[in-house]
Amino acid sequence: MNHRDIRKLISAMVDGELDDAGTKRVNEHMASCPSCTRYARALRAVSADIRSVIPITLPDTFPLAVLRAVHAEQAESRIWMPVELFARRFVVGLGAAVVLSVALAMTIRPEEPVVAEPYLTGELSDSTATRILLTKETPSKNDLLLAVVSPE
Amino acid sequence: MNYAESDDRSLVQAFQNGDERAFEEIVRRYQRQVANVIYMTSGTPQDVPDLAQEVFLKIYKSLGGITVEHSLFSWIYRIAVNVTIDELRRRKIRRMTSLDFSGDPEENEPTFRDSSLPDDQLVSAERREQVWKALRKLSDTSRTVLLLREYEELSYKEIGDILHISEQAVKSRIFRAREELKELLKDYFEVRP
Ligand SMILES: [Zn+2]
Repeated sequence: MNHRDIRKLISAMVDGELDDAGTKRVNEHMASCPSCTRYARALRAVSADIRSVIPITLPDTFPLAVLRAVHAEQAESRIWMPVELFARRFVVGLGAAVVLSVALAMTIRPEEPVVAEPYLTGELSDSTATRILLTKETPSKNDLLLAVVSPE
Repeated sequence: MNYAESDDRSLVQAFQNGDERAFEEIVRRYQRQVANVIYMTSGTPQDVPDLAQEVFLKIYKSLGGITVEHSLFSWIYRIAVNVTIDELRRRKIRRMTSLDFSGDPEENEPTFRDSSLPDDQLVSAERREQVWKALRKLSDTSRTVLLLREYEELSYKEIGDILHISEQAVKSRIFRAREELKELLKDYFEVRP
């Protein structure tokens, strides 16, 4: 058994979790190993130091404060429940309205893309680029390039 | 009914039957341990009240559905450990994204039981401070397992129940934690007579 294995046993021994056979083996090893003996002593000292940190305390009123927080949370969820229901209905309604209006737009003007319409009538832009593009029904790659590099 | 004398199982049953005073008693019974696991895991005493409240709110919400077969304490302790580790993780992410180092745990030194004592005791106070700083540098897993052992003085079996691992795994983790400490506290392990 090497020192590391023994140290693992020492760790358990310090915690009172080592059986008799293990304890006997550790003691036999430590009798001729100052390094592991020092390790056992250091573990006990560290352990005592960790335990010497002052425990933190919460006030006696803490349980009541927790209950108050519980009740506040319950009250809040009661307030928000109808709002949530309303919000859900609102979102569903909004979704339906959007679907309906898109469908309507498609029915009324099936061929005319809504976005392009103002440009086609020349209402929104008179820049060179737009003008070049508007003169062509199907612009070629060169037309597009020309449109991009043309100054206003 | 006075619940101070009731065992954990009866308290849980009373709570499940709708008596909030049973819950109040559970909080009273375990607030010390919960506060300490938060403190020792997060290292910042000012975090303790809020996180402890979060822990018990979680307990309130889940208590209706549990049956206490082994230990209520194990269950509560596990929630406290998880809530705290989650919070530390959230903070680590926040620190990484915002470069906010204001939450440096080393700025929050704990107090020691007899550090008010003069002279020779000052040396040991200094040493304990070293131990504390080393503890703060351990991985969350190592620190938790070591504190459950050293601070709460739980057996390997009890720690295994809390962390859902075998006694053998507890033994290994505690040893690993101590090996980490050994690296961090070289003076302690080598120079001391
Ligand atoms: Zn040895």
